[in-house]
Order: sequence, then structure tokens, then C-alpha cells
Amino acid sequence: MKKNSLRTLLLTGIGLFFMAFVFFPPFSEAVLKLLFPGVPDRLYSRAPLPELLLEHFLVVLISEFLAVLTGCTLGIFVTRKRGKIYLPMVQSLASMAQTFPPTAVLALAIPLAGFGFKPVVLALFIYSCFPVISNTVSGLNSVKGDLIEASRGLGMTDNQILRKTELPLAAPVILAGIRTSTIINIGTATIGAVAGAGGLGTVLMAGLIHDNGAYIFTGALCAALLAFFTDKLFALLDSRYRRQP
Amino acid sequence: MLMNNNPESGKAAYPGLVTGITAFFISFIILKENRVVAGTPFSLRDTAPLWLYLAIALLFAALFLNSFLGSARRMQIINYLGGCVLLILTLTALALSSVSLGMEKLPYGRLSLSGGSWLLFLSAYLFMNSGDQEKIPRLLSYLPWLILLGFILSGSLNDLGIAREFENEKKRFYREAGRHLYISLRSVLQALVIGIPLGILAWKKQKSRTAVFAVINSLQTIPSLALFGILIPPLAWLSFRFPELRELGFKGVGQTPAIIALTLYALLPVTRNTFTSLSIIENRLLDAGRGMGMTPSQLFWKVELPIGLPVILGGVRIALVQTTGNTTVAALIGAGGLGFFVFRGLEQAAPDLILMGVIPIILLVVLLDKTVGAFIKLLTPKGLELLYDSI
Repeated sequence: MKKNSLRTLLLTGIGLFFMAFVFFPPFSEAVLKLLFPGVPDRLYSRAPLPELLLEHFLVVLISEFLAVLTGCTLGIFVTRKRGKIYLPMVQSLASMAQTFPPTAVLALAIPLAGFGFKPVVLALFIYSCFPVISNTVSGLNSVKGDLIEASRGLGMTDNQILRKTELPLAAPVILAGIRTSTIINIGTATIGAVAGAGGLGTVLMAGLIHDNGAYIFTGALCAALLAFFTDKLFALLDSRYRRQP
Repeated sequence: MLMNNNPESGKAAYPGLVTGITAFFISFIILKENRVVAGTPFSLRDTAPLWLYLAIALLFAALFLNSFLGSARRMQIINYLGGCVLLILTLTALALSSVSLGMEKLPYGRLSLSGGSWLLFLSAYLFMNSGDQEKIPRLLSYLPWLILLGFILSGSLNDLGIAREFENEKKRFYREAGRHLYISLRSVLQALVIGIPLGILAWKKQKSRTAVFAVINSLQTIPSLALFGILIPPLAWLSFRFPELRELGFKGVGQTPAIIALTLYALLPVTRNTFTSLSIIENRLLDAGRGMGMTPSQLFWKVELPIGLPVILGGVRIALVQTTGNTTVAALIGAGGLGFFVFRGLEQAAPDLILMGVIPIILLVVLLDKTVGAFIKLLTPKGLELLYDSI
């Protein structure tokens, strides 16, 4: 109990620090001044930090939303009777795509789709689909046959079995897939700045190009904390799901 | 006549057909007179000779007809072979485009693959994977790789942009490839040295377990570029304060932060699998060993190691795949590696340069994955295969 409250306190502390760092420039100025006394130009001035964070968030949100929509639909389709024929194809495609480094997928998509926000969202969407698909498939396949039989015995239609038996039981596995792909997505979106997607990677890249440690630190810290808290959010969601009988 | 044991099974060819036929309507290849000017797109019809164009169309017609006939198994084999033929035809079309577009007269010309050629490759892949891969005869499964290798070695693809970039940058390519391997392997090796004891610690000391996994789990969530970035300022400060470290090659940017960050990433799979390997060695197995009169060292060599090793190697496999991929990003902080070409290609909008980085990286990942996979299969005791499948 005591350990738990300590952890909550720590998390709240980091969260408050993050908020203050992003939304309250005097605070971030002070932090950066403390860490980088020798750097003259510490505060990234070309775009405000909240805007970059929002941009990053939007890239991830849009691509991940589309990926979840497509991934779950496809995963459900190939585990139904009508789509079973495509199961091996989809599975081999998904497992192959997941050995690809995400950066490689991003880099390959750029010459085909162009530079900027939309192409990066497209690339992230394509890559994020695969963890969602494979987890949806394995989650649905792990539902025991006798449970489905029992549901059918209760007079449920195929549709009802999917909604009331299979999906709730597969939910934790599907959620784990969404979690993995979102975390990878946040990381790849950071690199997406190279391809002109904006976001927190922009500050980091500016720092790398101009050899400015404060910029590098600002971008890296914000991207890291964004990923960290997104993961914690998923952990919370996961424990909510598991608590239900 | 119709021996369809499952009338649905013909549909497996449809995704391949749809992607393949779409390829006819978009640009197949892009020609740039040099690297700076905008390219001109050419469709398959523009560049390929008529016979080749018709051959590809006929192949699709044949595969479409095939989807109505025959048993599911025969259909799958035909689809697989059809995919291989499509691969040959596509590569031939690429080779012949460089002739029909007069590439030998354009020493600075770049012929880049465009959407159409990628779709044809995807279509070939989808045909080859139209069914359960286990049912494809083993010998046939090497066929696509042999085809690719044959085309590359014959030199018929030498006028493509990627081959020209490679020719220009050969020396640099081998150097960066070597660096890429060095960074990845060294990071995984370091992760093994730290991760295995950490896994044992987590198993032995219940108290440390939550802390160990909380830390390395959170490390895994941090984006690779961000972790590199966070390490740069403190390392730069250290090397500034202690010149001795700098002489050892310890710097703020470059390989030092890359290797440290990649080691931290690789910790999770190694530690987790070490932990799992210990947890599946049940007490009754050890008791049985002891009952047979084994000494502690025999117990380790004959019971613990054979059971645990495949699981730990499974962690090494994940770590290698992940690290080799992430090393790409290290090029952004000046560590070199094949990512160098990827990011320079992105900067200069030179797709062939990007490919020259990406293709070897993917090949390297696949190769490492398959090699360690084969090792694991070799080392897995026959009687324990079911146990491993369940974890």
C-alpha cells in the first residue's frame, strides 16, 4: 500500500514537471539554464513547445486511430468463416512486416508518397496496423472453442458471439497490440521530423544540426515523457479491463 | 471435373490479382536525367516490350482461371509458382526498361522503382503466401531468393539507380555496413553481460523483481532517438570534464551514446527471457535429477542449461532484430551505420540512396533472425517443443 502511494506520488511529480516544462516557458528556461549554463540560445523559438507537442500527438493519434480501425477489422475478418482463407496470407505479411525496422518503412514510404505531414501519417499508419492485426488474430484465436459452443447453445447469433463473447475475452490481447504499436508510433513519429512531419523531433533535429545540447535535451525529454505517460495510460486501461470478471 | 474440396479456396488469389492489376495503371519506373532534376514517370506499357506486357497480363489471366479449378493444395502450389514467374517477369521488365530508356547513354541518369514495380513485387509475394507456408515443398521455398540472386549477379539490373549509387559509394557502403554490424553486435553482447545476471537476480530476489522490470520496461518505451538525445548532453559534459575519457573514444555524439542506448534497449528481451527460462525449470525436474544422483554441475549441464538455453536464445533473437533495426537511427547522431545512407537519401530526396541503406538493413535483420532461429531449433530438446510453444 505504502509502495503504491509512493509510486503515484512519483508519477504525479514527473507529470507536473512535464506539464510545467511544456506549458510554462519561464520554468523550462530555468531548467535549461541550470543544465546548460554555457549555451547562449537555450529556448527553441521557432515554434512554441505546446504546438509541437500537439503536432506530435496528432500525427500519432490519426495514424494510430486508422491503424486500429483497419487492423481490428482485418483481424476479425480473417478469423471469421468467410475470411479464413486469407488467414495465412495476413499472418505471414504481419510477421514479416514486424521484423522490418519502423524507420525503414518510414524511409521507404517517403519517396513514394512525398515529404510532409500526410505521407508520414500514411507510413506510420501502415506500420502500426501490423501489431494490431497479429494481436487481434491471436486474441480471437485464443478464445476457447467450448465457450463459443456454449454461447451458441444460449441461442446467440454469430454476430452476438463476436460482440459478447469473443471480443471481450480477446480485449486484453488486442489492447496489448494497440499499446505496442502506439509506443513504436510515438518513437517513429520523432524520426518523422526528418521527413517534414513536424512534432517534437523538429526540436531534437534542430539541436543535432546546430550542435545545441539544450534543443536536443528539450526534444528528447518531451518525446520520452510523452511515450512514458502514454504507456502508463495503457497500463491503467489494461488493469481496468482485467479487473472485470 | 471440378475437384474443389473447398469452393472458397480459390479466393486466396484475389488480393494478389487486385494489387497486380492495379500496377498496370500507375507509373512503373521513374527516370531522372541526373539526381537533381524532377523525374519522368513511365508506365509498364511505356517501357516494357509488348511481349512482356502481354506475358504479365496472361499470367494474371491464368492465375485467375486457376482460382476456379483444381484442389486447394494444387491451387496453392500453382499460385506459388505463378508468384515466382511474376517475380521473374517484373525483374525482366526492370532490366529491359534500362535498355529501352537508353540508360547507357545517361551516365548520371537514375532509374528508380516506382509504385507499379513495388505493387508487382507485393503481388508476387501475396501469390506466394496465398496459403499455409508449411505446405510448400522446402526446395521451392528457396526459389524466390535464387531468382533475385540470379538477376543481381547477372548484372542485368546494373543500370538501376540503386546499383549506380552502390557503384559510386562502394567503399563507404562496406565501411558503414561494418559499423552497423559492430554497433548492433556490441550492444547485444553488452546487454547479455548485464541482462543475464539481472534476470537471475530478479528470479532469486523477489524484492528486486518489480523494480528491475519496471525500470527496463520503461526504458523500452522511450523512443530511440529521444534516448540517444538524452544521453548526448551528459556524455558531452563528461568527456569535456575528463579528457582521459575522450582519449578512449568517449564522446557526446557518435558511437558512445548509440551503443549505451542500444544496450539499454536490448536489456528487456534478454532479462525477461532469462527470467522466464529460470521460471520454467520446475523444482520437480531438479528433484528428479538429484534423485538420479546428479551432482550440482551435472544438474546445471544436463538439466538447467538444455531447458533454459533455447529460451534465452529466443531473447537474444528479439534483441538482435530490434537492435539491428534501431541502429539505423544511430546515424542521426553521427554514429554511422547503414542509416547514414537512409538519412542522406531522405535529405537529398534520393530514393535510390534510401534503398541502398534500407534493403541491406532488412536483409541483415532477416538473416540474423533466421540464423538464431535455426540455432534455437537445433538446441531445443525434442521432448520440450510443446513446453516452449506454450510460453
